[in-house]
Amino acid sequence: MTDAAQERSIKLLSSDNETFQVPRNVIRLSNTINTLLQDLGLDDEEDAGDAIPVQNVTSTILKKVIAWCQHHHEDPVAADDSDSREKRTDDISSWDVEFLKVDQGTLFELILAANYLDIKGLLDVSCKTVANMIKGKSPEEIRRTFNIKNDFTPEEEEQIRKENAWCED
Amino acid sequence: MSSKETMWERFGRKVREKIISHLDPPTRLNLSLCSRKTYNEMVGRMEYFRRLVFKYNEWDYNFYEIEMNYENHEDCDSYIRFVDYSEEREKRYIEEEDRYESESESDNCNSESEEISDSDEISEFSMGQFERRNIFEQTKVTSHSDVVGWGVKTKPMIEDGDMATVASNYFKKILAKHYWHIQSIEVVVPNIDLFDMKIDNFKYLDDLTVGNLVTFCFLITRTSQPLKSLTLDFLNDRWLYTSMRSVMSFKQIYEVTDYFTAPLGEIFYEEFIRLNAKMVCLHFHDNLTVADINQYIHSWKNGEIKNNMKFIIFDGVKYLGIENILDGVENIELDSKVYHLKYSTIKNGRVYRTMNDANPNSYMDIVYNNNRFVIAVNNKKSNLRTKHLKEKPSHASIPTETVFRRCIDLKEHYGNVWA
Repeated sequence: MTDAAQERSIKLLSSDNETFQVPRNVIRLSNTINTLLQDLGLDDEEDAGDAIPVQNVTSTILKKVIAWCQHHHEDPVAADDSDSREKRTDDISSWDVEFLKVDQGTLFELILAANYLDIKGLLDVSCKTVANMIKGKSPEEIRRTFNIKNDFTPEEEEQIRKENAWCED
Repeated sequence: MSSKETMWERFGRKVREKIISHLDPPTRLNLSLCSRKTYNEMVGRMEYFRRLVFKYNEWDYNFYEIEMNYENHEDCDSYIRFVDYSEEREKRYIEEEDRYESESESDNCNSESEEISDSDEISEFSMGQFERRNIFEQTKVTSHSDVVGWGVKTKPMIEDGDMATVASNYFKKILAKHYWHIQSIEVVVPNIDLFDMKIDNFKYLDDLTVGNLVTFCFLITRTSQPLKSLTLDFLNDRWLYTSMRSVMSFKQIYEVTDYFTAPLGEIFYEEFIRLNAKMVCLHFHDNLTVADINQYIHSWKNGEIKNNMKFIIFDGVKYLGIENILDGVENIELDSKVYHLKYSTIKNGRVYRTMNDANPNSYMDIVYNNNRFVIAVNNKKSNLRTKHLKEKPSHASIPTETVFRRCIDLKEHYGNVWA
């Protein structure tokens, strides 16, 4: 990607048809968009032309995603997903903590958007936030968080608890 | 989203995996209890963690309560035993030992022919099954716990492998306790020997005032077999290093090969200075080359050694013939002046200890006594100790604490032996 290409803007179209103009060097954090531009040979085009539809992401969420990318676009490139490092959850930056102080629905949508757009950093930090959110919660509380329906019988549940009592010590 | 699809399902496998990877075992359990689907998704991990975690509650000293899970008992039959120590018992064991000694002198037994039979002990542990054993029960002392020491039994034929297993179990234990959030752990610690185990013993020293520490021991080794597991990644991972530092303290950190030529060695050195370490014990593994050690030593040699820090090079020095390399390096002693890594065998296991090459009957065991760093030394002239220990008839009657003949505060010991 040339310097000129870095400086230009890309248009993104949200699922509710709102267009966002995003600097190329900001949206580079999205592997999905990167790949798309490269595959279509648009990466070095001065005029990106039509907006790229981001079908699974609403304007509200896309705006948040772009804001996150703008803040982090100068961060070092994240390691591969296969990298097993950085599994801790207490290392979320204060900016990200504030950024992710959103309602649960928005947080989940952000995760889905980060996953769809393949923005590793955002996905990591939002998943960590969710993990922190459910730590220490009872099964019932976790069910409510994720809308999971309990299909265990009490006996089955008890049995699983017994089998895994070791981890509750 | 379909009406039946939960938010959890909607995340997709990749996201779920990511979230799960950050969860501690209890939360994983609770997640698994949410529904059959989540259970099925989690069950493999729960089993994995069950195998991993051992029984790590009572983290401090209940080390003896270790769950053994050796899927292949042909290769792994190690166990870890912890013993208590008391003056009274010491006295008894000294008497007992003297008695054995005199008996041994009279019957002129052949210790080699009475090599440990491991098969009996293997069967005790039902290797291959997932079983928790409190090995310590067999030697538990009801009086006070002055000294917590340890002994390790290994199967002689696959000594390195066994030690690797024991060490890896230690590692797993550490990782399970503090690094459960690392999802996949396959620990391989090749070429671990006893000195390394002693290094691991330093995990007990968390609450010890660092400034009072006299000795830091570090393994500096090069793995003889490729480590494809994540272990090396852990160890080579700066984050892990930092995390370990925050959780476990510097002195507990193993160092393995790949950092040998990396700046971490320098970090260590700076750390030694920061901690005002008075003595740094280095164990160069035999599989290092002279060039390796040369490089390492010179990285310090060219630096400024402060605080009258003394470096002790354990093991491998003579083997590698690196004495010349060390010429002119102040504050570094060769192992001829200090205790050399050896181990002795007793009936129920191998007690690993440092030994003085010049005097094979003299050895030292480093143990931890509450908040004190304690060294047990034996300067016994006789070489019958090993023999008679081998001959001892039963498991219960062979206390590992026999090896801890003299418990001397390290400070005192430092004055007597190391100065």
